[in-house]
Amino acid sequence: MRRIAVEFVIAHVLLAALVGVVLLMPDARKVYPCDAFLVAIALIEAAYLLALFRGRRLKPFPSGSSDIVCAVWVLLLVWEVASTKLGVAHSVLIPSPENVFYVFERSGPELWANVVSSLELLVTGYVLGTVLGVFLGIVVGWVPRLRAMFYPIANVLAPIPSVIFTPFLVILMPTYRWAAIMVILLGVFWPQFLSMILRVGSLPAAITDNARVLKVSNWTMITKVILPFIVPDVLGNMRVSLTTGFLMLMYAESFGAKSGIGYWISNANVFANYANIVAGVITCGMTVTALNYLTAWLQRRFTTWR
Amino acid sequence: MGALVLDDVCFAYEDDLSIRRRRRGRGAEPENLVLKHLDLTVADGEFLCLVGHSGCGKTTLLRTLAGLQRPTSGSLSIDGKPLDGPGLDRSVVFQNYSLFPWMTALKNVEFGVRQASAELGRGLTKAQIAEVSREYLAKVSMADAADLHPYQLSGGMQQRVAIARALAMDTEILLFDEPFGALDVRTRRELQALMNRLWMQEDRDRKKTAVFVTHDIDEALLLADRIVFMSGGRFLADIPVAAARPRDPEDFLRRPAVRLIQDELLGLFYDAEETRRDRAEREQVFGEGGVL
Ligand SMILES: Nc1ncnc2c1ncn2[C@@H]1O[C@H](COP(=O)(O)OP(=O)(O)OP(=O)(O)O)[C@@H](O)[C@H]1O
Ligand SMILES: [Mg+2]
Repeated sequence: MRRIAVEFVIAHVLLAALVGVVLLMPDARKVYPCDAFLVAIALIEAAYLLALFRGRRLKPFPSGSSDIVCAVWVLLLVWEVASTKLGVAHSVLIPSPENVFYVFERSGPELWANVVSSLELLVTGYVLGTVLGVFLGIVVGWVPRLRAMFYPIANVLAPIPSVIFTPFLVILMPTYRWAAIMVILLGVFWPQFLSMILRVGSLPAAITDNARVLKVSNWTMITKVILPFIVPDVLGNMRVSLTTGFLMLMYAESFGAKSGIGYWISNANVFANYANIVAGVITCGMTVTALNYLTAWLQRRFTTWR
Repeated sequence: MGALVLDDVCFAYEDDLSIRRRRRGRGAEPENLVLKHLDLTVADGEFLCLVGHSGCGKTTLLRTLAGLQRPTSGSLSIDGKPLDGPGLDRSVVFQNYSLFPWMTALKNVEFGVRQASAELGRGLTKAQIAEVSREYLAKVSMADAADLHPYQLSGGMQQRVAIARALAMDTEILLFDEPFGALDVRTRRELQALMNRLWMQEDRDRKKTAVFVTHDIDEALLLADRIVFMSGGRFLADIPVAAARPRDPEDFLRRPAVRLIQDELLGLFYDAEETRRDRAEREQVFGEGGVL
């Protein structure tokens, strides 16, 4: 309890220092107004407090969040002092935090529209890839003959990065967006497919015997035995392949895209607009974190039995 | 109803090689028979205990009775109807892993009851299924654990649930494969007492046929109407145990008549090893079938 209180105090001393520096120290560079930056700081602090007091007693302090928030304050402090206040950092490569967060204020709706466009691609490809991988994986894993045929084939195809197929996909698919979706879909499909084949094949004989003596129909076998058996693996794979999916998304959006957060970043890169780039990276981080929380929640919710 | 008849049942775990060899006509009979020409009649309502040392083929026989595998030759029938594959006229309790790990205790029992109801056309409603399931969980003193998953239950508790399911399914025949094999002595005694009580209750309604595999002699004595001793894939002895239930272990196992059976079985357990060696030698000299 005492240690946590100390961390809590340190975090707030750092916060005070940061805000003090932002407001009181004279600028060495000309920057946009600092209000967006201050709002961002306030949001981080709010998230920190929320994590600490999450509707419970003070007891289960996640001490990790104190450490994290301290690190964030130090980082912002160094960044702010080196760029805006002293001007010692490279003025183009390292934009001031004021300028970076001002991007959200100025181009918030535009950024949001890009996030939505990205999520459309990601979610479509990710969901289709997962569903196809699970469904085909179950069928192929369950029928010995199909397994003997497709497992070796899948083992050859799976390690090939789906981005290699991009030239073909761009020609084969009706629109650019579908080509991008296919790249994401393939990136998510193979690991899920392979893992399902193995998982279904590893259904313990004791469980199948048990189902057989109860004379379950094929349909019941799939819905009441195989599906619950593989759900924990499906969700585990979903968490891992979220990263793959996001990588593929960023790649897909860097060619031929007219919108999306990856497009935003590569477009800003063309104009050497580093404030926009950093803002885009921060947006990416927040999006991935949100999706991660979602899949982690799904995993906790549906894996109750082991 | 529920009389089980085995007629000259043989079973061999066959690999592709031995099957191919047999197809080519070399050797009319697979050499590695695990069950050797078994004849047995289990009367309707009889509680039969199958004892024998490890590896003598008890599980193999039980799995054949459950319909999980076909006999290599010979036939099995229930009430005169040939046994073909698994069926809900039988319910099975395995040594472990009888429950689905992703279902709660109650859901596991309900699943069995629902399967039995659908297959046998009993047409139980959802509420009735739940009611029957809870009733049987209560009978094995597991009412409080209804909403726990198997991983939250001890081995003994899991077996209680498995027994509840088997009984709640209300099948004519019950097959048990060393259900208490992995449990400590005390828990085992508790569950034996429970089986005794349950069988008394069932007795009152309608007798069920049971085949119960165990290698614990006392367990067999406490539960069985009849004990069959098995060794090397053959039946070596068939001993009736005519005594009323419930059988109190303290008292029952000390009765002189029971002590006699105990000694006989113990003797068989120790002799079986020798007999087996003797027979192997004899078979080397005289060929298969050199009589015991
Ligand atoms: N799946 C299998 N494939 C090949 N052989 C097997 C298989 N299962 C069992 N056997 C063999 O069949 C014989 C009988 O095995 P079984 O499991 O029926 O014995 P058991 O009487 O149940 O023994 P225990 O008391 O240890 O459970 C053993 O010699 C064993 O090696
Ligand atoms: Mg066995």
